[in-house]
Amino acid sequence: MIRSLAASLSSGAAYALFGVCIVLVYRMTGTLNFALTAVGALSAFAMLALVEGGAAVASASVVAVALGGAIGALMGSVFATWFRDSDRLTRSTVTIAVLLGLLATGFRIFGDKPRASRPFFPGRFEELGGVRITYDTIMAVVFALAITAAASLVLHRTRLGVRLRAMAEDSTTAELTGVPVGALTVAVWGVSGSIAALGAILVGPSRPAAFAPLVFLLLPGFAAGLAGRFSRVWPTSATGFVVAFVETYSGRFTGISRYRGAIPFLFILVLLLWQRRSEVWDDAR
Amino acid sequence: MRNRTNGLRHLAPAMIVLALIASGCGDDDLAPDAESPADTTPEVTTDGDEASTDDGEEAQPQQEPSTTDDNTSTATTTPTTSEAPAGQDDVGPEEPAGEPIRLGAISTLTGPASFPESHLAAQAVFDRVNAAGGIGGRMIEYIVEDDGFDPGLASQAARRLADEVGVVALVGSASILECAVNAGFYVETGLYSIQGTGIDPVCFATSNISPVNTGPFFSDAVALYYASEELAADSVCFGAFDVPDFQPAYAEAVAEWTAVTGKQLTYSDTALIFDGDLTPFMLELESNGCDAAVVQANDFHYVAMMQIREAQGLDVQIIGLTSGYTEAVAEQLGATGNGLVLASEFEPFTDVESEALGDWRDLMNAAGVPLTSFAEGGYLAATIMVGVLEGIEGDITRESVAAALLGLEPIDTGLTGTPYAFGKGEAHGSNRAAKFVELVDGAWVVKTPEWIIVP
Repeated sequence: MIRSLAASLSSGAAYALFGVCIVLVYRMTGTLNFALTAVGALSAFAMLALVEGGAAVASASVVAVALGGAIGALMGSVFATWFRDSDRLTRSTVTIAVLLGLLATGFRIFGDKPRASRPFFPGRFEELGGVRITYDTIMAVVFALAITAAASLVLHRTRLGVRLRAMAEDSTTAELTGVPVGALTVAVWGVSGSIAALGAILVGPSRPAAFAPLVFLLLPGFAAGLAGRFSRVWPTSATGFVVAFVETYSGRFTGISRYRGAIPFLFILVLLLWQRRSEVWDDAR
Repeated sequence: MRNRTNGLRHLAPAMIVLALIASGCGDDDLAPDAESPADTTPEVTTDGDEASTDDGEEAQPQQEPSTTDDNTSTATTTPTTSEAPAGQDDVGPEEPAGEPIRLGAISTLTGPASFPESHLAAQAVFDRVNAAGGIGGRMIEYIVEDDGFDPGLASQAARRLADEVGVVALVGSASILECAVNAGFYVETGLYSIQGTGIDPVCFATSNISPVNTGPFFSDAVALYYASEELAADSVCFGAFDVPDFQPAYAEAVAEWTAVTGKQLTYSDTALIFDGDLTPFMLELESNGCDAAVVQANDFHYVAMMQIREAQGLDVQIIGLTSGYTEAVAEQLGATGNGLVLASEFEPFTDVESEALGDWRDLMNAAGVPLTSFAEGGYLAATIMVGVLEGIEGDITRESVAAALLGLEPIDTGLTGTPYAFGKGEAHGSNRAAKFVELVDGAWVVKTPEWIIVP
């Protein structure tokens, strides 16, 4: 079990990180960002291309994180300009269009050619249960937990968090009370783009070496966010790690290993039902 | 401020539409030119500057189309007068003798995986034949359809080729799913296909399709045999991705190996998650004591597996299939890939000293087609088809081509370890051999100069 736990840390960090990022953007802007992992994947692949071109891993990563931030900020400015008064469904639907656009862009630029990942700390690791946990994985886990803690603090303990939540609830009223809605929206999207970029770079070494698999981290990320009901970051983060562990551990049992891809979703379904166990059917609907 | 916002909101739908259009255009391999309004099919022409490889290289035009239909994107490979061989001018400009011989292909050219080289290689073969005067004076017209990794599109493509275009046969197709979708239709319509790259199990289990390649499942059996008998690995393991339709074929491949060797797998996982982290699987291989593991995967999986193998300090010998045998994998892995062994379904294309590859290499280089296994498949399928067409006495029709394929004697191709066959059987899988290549410091080295064949 320790072995499975150790082997699942990288996936867990990825699921938690993207899940928390999705929740964060939703709480702050009222938009479910379906394009989050695509921004991350595009940035991570830009980093790989730069390294292939001779750049150092660190400097290429800085450029990639800036690129992720820029794409995010661009999306933010689109939302601040055109979709400020749109409902949540419309805004979230727009991110699906952006996802498709970014997928197309990524495929066009990077194709389906494999690209080897470039770890920050090649050859450095700690052992747990006979499994080598690379420094990149440790960094991804620390980053995921740090982002979760920071998100929790900002949302609940700061004036900025109150402003952002107000903005998500009703941007017009928030603006009338002096909240700089436009600037905050662009900032939130920009920061989320940068986080996604760094997250994708950190978890890249353990994922299949192609563009699409990184983008598809969206599904477990959303599953984790769903478990946190898109409002609470710590349950989201914890679910990310638990889902990855369940996925890994179930692979050891022949009878259920074939269904391990679906197990996280079954897990979340059970969790949601449990959370609503005391509600009356008509109220819950 | 509010009015301005409202005004701008009218632009929102336009932005969404633009994004969707961009995504629709977002294939990484072929970017069809603007089609006429009359034709909105996903048909992909291969004769001109529309085609490009997945590396973003533009495929060189083979011939200028001379008889492009104004209303469709279909174009022929018929050479123009200026490109026809000496002496052809007397026949008359742009007037081939009779109707062109129409051949078709359905390939996966867009989607999560793509195989553009097969039809480009076949195109190069047909262009050369056309430039030399065609078959009995008739030019070959080659129409390629993209199935987009979509069963619906694959089905439509087959019907369009059979009913609207009127192809006499299919050749050089390379698709993940078109055999499974269209095999029944081909039986109904009497169409036969020399598949360039057959992947799904149905390609090797139907009367009307005979692939030139070994295919992933025969390759599994050959690779397992190689692991246990040639490498003498005591503990052989197996891994593959969870594709429900593939499970029986995985089991059959393992059963074939067991029947021949009397050995059992030490560990097997055929439910790997395609987009998932492969670290747990690699650790399971180690903890189960696998000396060698045959893994059916894509090229990017092999790259990830070798990186994980290095990061985790594992010793297990990974044996993969031809899907990973590309220059890109060698270049990306470098020394990290040392020890990766893959089964090549054809004469290994990186073997520059191979005499069997001489004509293929010259033709592909001249045509600007990337040198890959898929290009070998397309070249081989087209070359066999040209031989079949040349051997037909009388009119070349769907029926006469079918008769010729059903009566075809096995052909020693030089590029495969076993002769190519079609014939009247209910299933075909004549290529039962592989040569193994090993990655050494970023270069593929032929590990088995002799073909490995499961007895």
